[in-house]
Amino acid sequence: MYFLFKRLSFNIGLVLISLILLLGIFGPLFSMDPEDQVRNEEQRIAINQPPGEYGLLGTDQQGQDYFANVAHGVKNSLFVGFIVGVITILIATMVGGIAAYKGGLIDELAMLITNIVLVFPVLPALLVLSAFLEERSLNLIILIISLISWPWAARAIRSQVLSLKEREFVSLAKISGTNDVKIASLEILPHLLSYIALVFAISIGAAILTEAGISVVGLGPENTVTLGILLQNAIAFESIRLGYWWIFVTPGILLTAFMFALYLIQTNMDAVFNPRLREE
Amino acid sequence: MDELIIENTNKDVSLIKNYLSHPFLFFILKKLLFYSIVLFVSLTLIFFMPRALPGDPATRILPAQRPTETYDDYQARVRSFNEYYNLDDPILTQYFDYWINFFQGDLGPTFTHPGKDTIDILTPAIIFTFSIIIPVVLISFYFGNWIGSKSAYDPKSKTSKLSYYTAMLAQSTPFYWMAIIFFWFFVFQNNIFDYGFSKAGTQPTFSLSYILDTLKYYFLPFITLLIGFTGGWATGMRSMTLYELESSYLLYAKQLGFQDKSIRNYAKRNAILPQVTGLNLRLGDAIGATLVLEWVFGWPGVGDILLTSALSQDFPLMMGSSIILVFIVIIGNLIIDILYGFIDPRIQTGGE
Repeated sequence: MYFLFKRLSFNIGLVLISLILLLGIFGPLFSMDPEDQVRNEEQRIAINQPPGEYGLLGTDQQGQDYFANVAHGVKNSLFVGFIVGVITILIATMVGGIAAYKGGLIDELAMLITNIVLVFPVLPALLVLSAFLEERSLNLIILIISLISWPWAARAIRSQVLSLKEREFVSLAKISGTNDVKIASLEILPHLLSYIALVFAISIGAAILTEAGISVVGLGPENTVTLGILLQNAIAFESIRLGYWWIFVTPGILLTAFMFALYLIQTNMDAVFNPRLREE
Repeated sequence: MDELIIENTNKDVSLIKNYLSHPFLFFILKKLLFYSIVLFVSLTLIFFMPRALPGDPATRILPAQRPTETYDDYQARVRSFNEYYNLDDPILTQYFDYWINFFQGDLGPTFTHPGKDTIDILTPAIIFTFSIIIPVVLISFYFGNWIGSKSAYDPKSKTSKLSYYTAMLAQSTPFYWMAIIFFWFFVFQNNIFDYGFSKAGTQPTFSLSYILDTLKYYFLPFITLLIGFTGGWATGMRSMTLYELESSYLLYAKQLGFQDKSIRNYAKRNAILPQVTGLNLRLGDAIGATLVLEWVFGWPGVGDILLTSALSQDFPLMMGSSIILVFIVIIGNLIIDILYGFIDPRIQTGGE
């Protein structure tokens, strides 16, 4: 950990992530829910106003305070990323861990299923799936993203467990008659945690981008606002043709900054946990 | 390995067993079996998903009963619709017909394009999709790896750091947002490129004027995808090359006095292997990105058709384009797997 905080690029990533988290957590507390703004007709002061007079980020196509929309969008996007990340970790650790630890037929079967799901590209599969959905709530979208995006994580964790279970302390525990559950939770899991954190970070980023991707084309969650839906609105209401830059630039910058920060953190974690990559 | 050589030279083994025991052939057969399972699973899912929806297609697609129409007329309309699309048959019969039609290359009629078959709409679209995806994957793979390995040789220099962080930024920018920004800047602000592909005609011909015409529409989706993917390959290749350069066999080679050039060559050759494996995963990303970009830029590929049909609930067309996509993914993966077998000599000898 000490090596991590010594690295400038890691700290830049950390600061960027924290700023976006702060916006997502505290922004919505100080601004009105976009859904309420729709109901409250008096709020519709002026549409498509540039930043300044009508708020930090101006107003959007329906005269809503755009800062409020962005803050709620960040909150919901982060929510999608976090929940999908948690579910991915749970499925991946179970499938990958058990497959690697048990080996044999269980391993073969688990990897067959994993590889089949892995062949399907995430975004097209989700586009098709959500086009078939009757109603698309945020939770349902989270569920289908999680169902499709776990396989790479399961494979990554499997290969880690495969190398861990050959280590001496695991063999010693086995010889001394410790049961499988105890070995898995007390001997193997603690060594996996840093790796799981890495997988968690990657899947949060991937989930946020994926959700935004299906939202941009209009197949995302309904009756809510995420960064992708803000971009979809920008397309649908012709904000791009009319040049209302604050409407289509802001969500994209936030997405890019978030991904960039995640990459910075991820490569630095890689470099620290794989000492061969350390440049110092 | 020794056992295999003995087995191969054993003259008593029958011809088939001899072929099967050839590790490379066995590897390809295994992959073929795997992708057949994938094809079966995905086509079955594609068939059953729209049928699992509540309500029947006729009531979703057909206009509701008109005021001038009697109830019987409306029912007759529903019946003829169901008859035309064979929706009254038992579901298993439909399922078997679906497979038979699939092997005959027949994907059935569409809902929203009267008189046109799904396959007729999709054939030109496949050409349009390939014209983006194949050049992007090849060019970005080449340049990305070139940039990545170059920037790994001297990781502390300014140019190396600059190219690395630029590549990382390109990788982090969501492609749909990059598309929006390009659209705004090049189409609406500066009128350098045009939009609205229909002017060029969606039936591809190979005349020079047609190709020049389409290039105006081609450039933006192509360059958007290319930037993102080149960045992705470059960052991956840089860390792989760094990893190889620090590995003991190359440190030893350095001690022996090998020239920098040949050391870098060894590092590059080993670092490229995980990148080729990465092609499998990136191919899926590339297809996903192409789908969305086609829709954003109105490029008439499979993705544009898939998304338009998804939004208009044209299930046969949607199923058809999904099948085409599954096919592209499987063929692409198979080609990469075979390529990997050629590049990595360990596969050909059956070693691990």
